Amino acid sequence: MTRLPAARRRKGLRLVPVLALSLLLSACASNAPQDTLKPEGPYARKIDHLFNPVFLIAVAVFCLVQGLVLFAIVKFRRRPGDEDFPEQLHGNTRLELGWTILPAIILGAVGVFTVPVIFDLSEVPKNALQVEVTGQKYWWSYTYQAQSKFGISDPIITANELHIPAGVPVALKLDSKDVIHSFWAPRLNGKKDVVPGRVHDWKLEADHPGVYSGQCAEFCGISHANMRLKVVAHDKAGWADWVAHMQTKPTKPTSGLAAEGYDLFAQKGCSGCHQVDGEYQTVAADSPSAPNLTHLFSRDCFAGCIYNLDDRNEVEAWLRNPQRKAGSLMRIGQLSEAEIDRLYAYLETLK
Amino acid sequence: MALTEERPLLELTAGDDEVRQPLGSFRRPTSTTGWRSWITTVDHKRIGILYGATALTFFAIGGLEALLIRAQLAQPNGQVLSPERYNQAFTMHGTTMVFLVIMPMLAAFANYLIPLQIGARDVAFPRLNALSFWIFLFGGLFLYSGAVLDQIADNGWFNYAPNSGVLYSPGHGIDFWTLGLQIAGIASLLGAVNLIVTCINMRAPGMTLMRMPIFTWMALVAQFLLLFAIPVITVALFLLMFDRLFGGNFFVVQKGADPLMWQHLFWIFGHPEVYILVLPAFGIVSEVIPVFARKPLFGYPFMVFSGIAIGFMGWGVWAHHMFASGAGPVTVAAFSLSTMFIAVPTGVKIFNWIGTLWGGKLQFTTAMCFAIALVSQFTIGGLSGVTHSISPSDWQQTDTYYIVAHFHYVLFGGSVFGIFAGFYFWWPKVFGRCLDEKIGKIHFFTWLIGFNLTFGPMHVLGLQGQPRRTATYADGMGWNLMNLLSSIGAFTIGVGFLIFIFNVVKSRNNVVTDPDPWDARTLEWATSSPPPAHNFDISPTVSSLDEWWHRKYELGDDHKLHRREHPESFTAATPPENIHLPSPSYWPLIIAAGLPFIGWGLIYSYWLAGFGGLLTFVGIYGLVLEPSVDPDAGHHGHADTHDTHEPEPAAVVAGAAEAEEDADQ
Repeated sequence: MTRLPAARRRKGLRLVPVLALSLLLSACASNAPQDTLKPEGPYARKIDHLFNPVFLIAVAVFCLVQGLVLFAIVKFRRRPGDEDFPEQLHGNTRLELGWTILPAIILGAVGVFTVPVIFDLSEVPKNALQVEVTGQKYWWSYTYQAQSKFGISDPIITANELHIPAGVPVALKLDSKDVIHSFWAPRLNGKKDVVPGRVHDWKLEADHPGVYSGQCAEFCGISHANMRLKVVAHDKAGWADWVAHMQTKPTKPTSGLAAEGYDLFAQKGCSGCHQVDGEYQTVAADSPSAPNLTHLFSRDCFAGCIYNLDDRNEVEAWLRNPQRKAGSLMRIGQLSEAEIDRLYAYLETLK
Repeated sequence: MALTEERPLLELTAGDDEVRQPLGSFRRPTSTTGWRSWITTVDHKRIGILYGATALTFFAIGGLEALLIRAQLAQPNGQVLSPERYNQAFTMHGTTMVFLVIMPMLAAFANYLIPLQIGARDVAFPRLNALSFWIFLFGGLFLYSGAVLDQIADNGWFNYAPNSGVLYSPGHGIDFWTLGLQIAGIASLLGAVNLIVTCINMRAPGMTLMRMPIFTWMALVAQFLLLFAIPVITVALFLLMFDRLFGGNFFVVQKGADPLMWQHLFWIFGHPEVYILVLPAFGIVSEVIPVFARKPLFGYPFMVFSGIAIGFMGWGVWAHHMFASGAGPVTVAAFSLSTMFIAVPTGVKIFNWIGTLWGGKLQFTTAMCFAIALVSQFTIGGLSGVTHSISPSDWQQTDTYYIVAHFHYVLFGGSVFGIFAGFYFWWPKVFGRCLDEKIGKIHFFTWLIGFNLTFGPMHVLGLQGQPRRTATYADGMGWNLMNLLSSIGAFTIGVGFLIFIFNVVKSRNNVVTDPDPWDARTLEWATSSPPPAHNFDISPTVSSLDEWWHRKYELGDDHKLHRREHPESFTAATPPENIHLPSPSYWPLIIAAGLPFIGWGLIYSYWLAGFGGLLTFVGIYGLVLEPSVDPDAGHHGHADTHDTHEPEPAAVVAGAAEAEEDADQ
């Protein structure tokens, strides 16, 4: 039997911690918008504050165990020619009881800190903005019922981008139209599954105005990866502006390409599924759920937040072929370039 | 149908062909070499090898699927696979690795080793054992047969409702998955019953439970887990089958079902399953480390009882897979705490392994390297497990790559590394040939680096918010580098596997003559390599834990251990003549071959199902009516086989007991 020289052996096994450390270091360097370790709100921070000490304990145990293993590998290796047996030790009850009880105590302590946080985070916040979130293949819709406290007098329905005021708790009611999804904006809170036939309570809060990225976290089908979302947190004035804007109704275009697009919107069947408040109010009874387009162009992204609305090419590509997003339920037929121009002109009026 | 000790069938005269071949058409197989001997064998060792070879083949397939996944994710907006193909790849990767690789791999070790380690001639029900293998094989083939028609499951190995329903998954992929796993489940259940009875009833005289080798112990605990867990998944699969094929409404939300019911059923199976996958691997390294540390296992009773504790506690933690599913805070808190405390018995194992290394004289064979790597890597998997037993942090981590990292450290860094420690360790016993140690070391280091490079970065990816089961990710999320590293690592593992295969091929010429090349401790090393069909020429009697080691060494007057000149092994110069082993049979293969037809029939045409049912039915009758020991075979040229001229009467008793128990099934 051949044996590797001891030095090479040790080097190989040392790779494990070295690799782990270098990974951790490189992790800190990169800029990740969905980083769970950089919380931007009280709920996410609460989780982070629980995770950090446990992570440190884990690192300590990691170092202890790997240290002991490495030490044993180096110290107790069999020297060539040594045929004697080491001491035939069968165990040590005290030691073994020790390493049974000690971890149990440490874990018990961790448990004591964990349980209150579970209850805290499960509590529905008071004086919160209420938003109904509906998950469906493969996008999010949000309904804000009238809430005078937040300046909302008529219900607001929007998609993919969840607008909230910063520094205010937001109570979410999660429901699904089809399969199980999971609502997750990592820097504002953990995730909660969105289960059809159930309404789950969840909550968010952002400390500061900003845009926070998130996405569906429960596998939901072919375009699961394309079911993303944004949470846009506003300062006080920005929130008031947004609400005020969302309370307006678009004006129906009367001339030019946009007016032709308006007619086309009905002719091509768009209005069978997509609502436009004040213009196309009712959709077909059996239509698949489709985003409300009333204020489409006040958003940044569409189709599960994977395409940019301010890029005209992406909107046109979508109208040319909505199936470019796998699993899209939108059926529109082949449009001519002229028709696409008209539709685009109309959609652009839906600010 | 009890064939009593009277054994009328055994007393037939040579002319009674009609009864000897109950269904007339088949001549009873007699070959002991060639492919026919393999498809009709009831020898636990050959069945073990068949399990191992099949699992290794599926490992290559599941590995290729993993490489497809990593090729797709190496860069943002990957174009290697369509989303549909990607979903199929990760679904089949998970399903394959769990059900068709690690479970049968451990069945391979358990089948091969348990009878040898407890000093028995075979398992309790050798023909049932053959049936288990063939059902497993046909289950696996059925699962993959959908690929021929491009009907491949794409809803993940967990297959959550309601996306698994006909409404959202109208193809037949999930039907193949549902039926295939039900078939494979029969195999696991039969195997579990068989091995439990074997461990309880077939131990050599003197082998009390607390003298049973640790691998056998851990495999026994795993069999009990199988016995209770498989029925739960079978119920779930059965209900889903009714939903999909017969218009049932068990998981149809529109008809008032709660889709979380599937999750509960799945994870009540799924969590004990984790311990089914890892406990036997723990057993393997607990055998390997003492041999190469030249010390007994540190704290054998603690190792046994921590294994049993894991077996019990494993049933009380399933809802930690569902922390974000919508359970209330009381449930979440309870399962958080139970999950934390299951780390205690696992920690005991880690520390006891270190205790075994401590003060030893460690010899770094490839098997030892894999075993020590398991200790290190499983620790990482266990610690990340503790971080998400904290359910609030699990709300961040669940369904991200952090979880993928975690369970690969447990199941690859743990189970698979343990299995490969077992390969390098027992290869000379099983084949009488050694895997090359130099190539083995290259394999080991390739895997050590490849494995950590693949799954280490996934911790970071998960904490940076990359969800799992996503076919693609956008640029600018900060995930590019880690994903690239991970993909490089995955292909490194692939290279390592090829090195292993090369080693296997090369081992053909690497004959070892010493039946005990590692100076090992347990009974399987006290017989020749490979062992004879009847395992031991002389049936062992046991007076201590690590019986074989105690037969080899004694404490001298100088208080040092000395090797005895001629340790009492269980091989005889002239092989015994009167051991009855059950005869080979076609029927297990035929019973199993009917099952996939039932499956295809349920999906496509009931005529096929009728044919399959008939095949299985006839097979069952054939197996039951056929005497387990062919009266024509086995003792040709001998006088009355129940004579007592054998020096060790235990041998006769053991041989006959098996034949009877087998017939009684």
